[in-house]
Amino acid sequence: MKIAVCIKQVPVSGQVRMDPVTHSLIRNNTEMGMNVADLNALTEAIQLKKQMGGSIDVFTMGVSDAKSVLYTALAMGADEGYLVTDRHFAGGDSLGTAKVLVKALEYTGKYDLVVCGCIASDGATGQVGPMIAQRMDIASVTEVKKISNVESSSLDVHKIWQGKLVHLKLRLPALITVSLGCNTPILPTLRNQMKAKKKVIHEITNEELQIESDAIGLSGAKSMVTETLLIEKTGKRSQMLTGSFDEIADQVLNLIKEAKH
Amino acid sequence: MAHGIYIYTEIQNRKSAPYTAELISLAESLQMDETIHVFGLEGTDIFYEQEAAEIIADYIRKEDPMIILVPAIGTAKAIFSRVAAMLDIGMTADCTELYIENGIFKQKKPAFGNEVMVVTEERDEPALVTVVIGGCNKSEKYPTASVTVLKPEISGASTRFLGISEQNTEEIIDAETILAVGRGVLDNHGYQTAVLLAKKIGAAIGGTRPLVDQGVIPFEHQIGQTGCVVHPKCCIFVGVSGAIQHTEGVRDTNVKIAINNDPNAAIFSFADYGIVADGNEFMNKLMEKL
Amino acid sequence: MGKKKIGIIGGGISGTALGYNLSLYEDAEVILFEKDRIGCGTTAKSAGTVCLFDDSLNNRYWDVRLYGFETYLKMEAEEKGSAGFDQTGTLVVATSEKVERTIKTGIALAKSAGYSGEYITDKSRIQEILPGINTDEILGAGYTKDDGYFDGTMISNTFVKKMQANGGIVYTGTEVTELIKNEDEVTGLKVSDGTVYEFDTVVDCTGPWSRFTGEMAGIDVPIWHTKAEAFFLAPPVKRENYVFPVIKYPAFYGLRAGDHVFICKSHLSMDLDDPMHAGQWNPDLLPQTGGTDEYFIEFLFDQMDTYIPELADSGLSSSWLSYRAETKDFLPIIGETSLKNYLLATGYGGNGVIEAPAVSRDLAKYIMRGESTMLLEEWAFRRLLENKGNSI
Repeated sequence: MKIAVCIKQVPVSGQVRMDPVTHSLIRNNTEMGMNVADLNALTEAIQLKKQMGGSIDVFTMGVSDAKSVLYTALAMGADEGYLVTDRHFAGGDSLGTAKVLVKALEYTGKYDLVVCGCIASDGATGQVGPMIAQRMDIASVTEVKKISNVESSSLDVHKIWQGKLVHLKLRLPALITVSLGCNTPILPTLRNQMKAKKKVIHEITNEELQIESDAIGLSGAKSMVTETLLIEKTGKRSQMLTGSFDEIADQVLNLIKEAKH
Repeated sequence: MAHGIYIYTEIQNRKSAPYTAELISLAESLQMDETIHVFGLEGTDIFYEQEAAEIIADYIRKEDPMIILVPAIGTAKAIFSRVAAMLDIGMTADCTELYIENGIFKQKKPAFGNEVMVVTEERDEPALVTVVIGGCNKSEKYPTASVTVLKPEISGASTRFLGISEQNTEEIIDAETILAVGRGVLDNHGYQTAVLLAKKIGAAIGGTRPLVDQGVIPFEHQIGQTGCVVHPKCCIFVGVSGAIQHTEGVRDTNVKIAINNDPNAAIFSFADYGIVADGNEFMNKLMEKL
Repeated sequence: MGKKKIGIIGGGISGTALGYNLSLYEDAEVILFEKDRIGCGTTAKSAGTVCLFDDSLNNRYWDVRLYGFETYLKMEAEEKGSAGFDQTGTLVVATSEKVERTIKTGIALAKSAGYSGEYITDKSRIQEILPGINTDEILGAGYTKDDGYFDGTMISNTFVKKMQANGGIVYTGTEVTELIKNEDEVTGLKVSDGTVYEFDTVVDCTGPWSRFTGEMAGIDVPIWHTKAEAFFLAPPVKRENYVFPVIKYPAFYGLRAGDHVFICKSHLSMDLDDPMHAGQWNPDLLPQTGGTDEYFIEFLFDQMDTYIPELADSGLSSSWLSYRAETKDFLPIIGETSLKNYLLATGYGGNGVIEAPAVSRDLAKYIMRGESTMLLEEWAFRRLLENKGNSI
């Protein structure tokens, strides 16, 4: 089974800070790492490869610093890493990102399965996965929790919907997005990290992909941010409960009871 | 010329989803001189993302809407991401407020964690936006009769629906009382205490993103900007800092009680009642009383 | 007679240990200023190993080590958990005859204080204590079951509690912004909210921040930052009823951290002339986690692969970067400076948790009674000034 996994480098803490003057993200001293749902996606892909054989190619779009998540992916068990990078790709929205990634996926070969994380912790739109599927004209199932009955031309997927588990069969080629926390991500060993570091990360630029630059990147973005408003810090202050620990606990239980009526 | 506000809904058991009325209210609140249409998919068709997107895209091409409102729920987001890619239009995600300014349709949505709200507008028509549901009042008008139901062609589809089974997560979306826990309870078995306490006071457990990221609570129980928006009557926050990603999801709670050991925590400018105490100790105290 | 007023800048292990020791004097009035929270800076990132014998501090200062260890044992006995003691024992590995001699001396010293300790050459026994170890490259190992590691943040907070019980005052979230000077002496300080405090003595306990604190005093505090890069490994094998001991090799040390193993390059193996190892940085910019250099991962991998191959097959779960404040002889700077009434208790480097109790005991006595000790003489600022012409 030939699998492609699309991953993203994000700030690890999830607490992104913004410069109040320039309204740009403060990235200094922010630890960057692979998006958590992507770790789940890659782990799922590696388990598939273990069952079925084949290969895993990993793609990320970003600046050269984003290579580090590709090295992590290689250390986890992926076979090849592709950095999709070009100044024309920068500043795009989800659709622009999807267009570029699709071209990159088509450039490197045909895949039976494309796997993405269901959501990125920074952008949090969850759009890129299904958009890729659409541009590749293949089926998609989002927010997959579990995979079963894997065969060379199909697999079963299970997704949560309204608290229930939906069971679907999916004929390949197809794309799935893997739900956050559906497995315990593989922790790359020190030894595998050292091995991964010796590998070459392939770079794909617009030289190879030849995408019309007004369809992608900043110029291709379909919606624009016209204003940035600082969240109003209301002067509101909670009414602080005082007294002994016992008294406060009674007050809280009363409040809970009253609220229900 | 594009016209009309189109609202997407999902129909289960012959009833359109409860958020439909809310989206209609939102559309009405724009006070545009435009007709409001409701269209949607029925039953398990929503799982055929590729085929559903195709028929919706056809419908949109035919109808030429000005605005499309989509609930920010998983199934709808997946299908409309594909629709957007097919029509080559943008899709603005997770809006919390919609309005018209100088004749231009605009959306507000939180961005960059707890720092800012951004205002967005679309370059093309239709303006496709997903709306965080649970945020506003339901419309009195509830036009069940006028939903245009689209039937995707699913014979020969790559996806095949095999069945639905129960799984073991309690829904928090309808809970009356929610015990919301944050990173502050991760130590010293705080989460186990929270689970026991929630059971005793009849509350559902909700949590912030760090707990989801660490696998302590399932994603379905994340509250906030990227999780679900809930309307409990009472919400008790333990060890929650008060970052807007979390509090956005529980804004409309009647009674908000916060327990945090940091007297300067942002949650105390959000909650109605505050207690400066160690979250775990306080939960244990409550347990003693029950 | 009025009380002597002492202001302490910094609420890490150095400042809190000194604050507590000063609060034991009835005629001391002590106020500690911490700009963030107690024990939250580089103290929080200390491994907290206080072992009966290893090479972290020369055997010349063995009493300092013992005093630190016993201080924390008593703290732990008074209130369980207050020093965060985890008695895992320590395995100190002899990679050369020189190290072997140091270990054997340490064992003799530990025994003279009534603790257990043995030098093991039976390789199978060493493997029992540390499964996964490669014993081909080593001569033997020293082992004691009596020690382990402590929690620097917990200890700092306990010192604060005890200091407050004695009437000491602690302000957290309060940054010292200015030193008030009268000609060539310090008379007080000003904090971030604008309040001015008068003091008879001010002590800088800011460790890696001391260059900045020193600037306010007009003193060039000769410390370098060395990188303490810690890696948390998830070992590939889980063993029932097995306790991973503190392990000490010349170039690195390790200890358990829950189910994980904490590994760090040892402070004495750092080279102040190597820009990868040492420099002048801003500790305020240290992230909570991450920030580590590839260089150290590679270095530690080679060490693991050579000495404990099983750990080289561990998952790398997280990492952090901290700065140690080191002087050129890797010993702290304690006591008087060229500025009257302005004292230093800084530059502990990797040894703050070990050395702070004995140093603070002596420094408090010096501040309150003017009586010096041999330790204070040896670790005085003076020793660094005498060679100032030399390059570092």
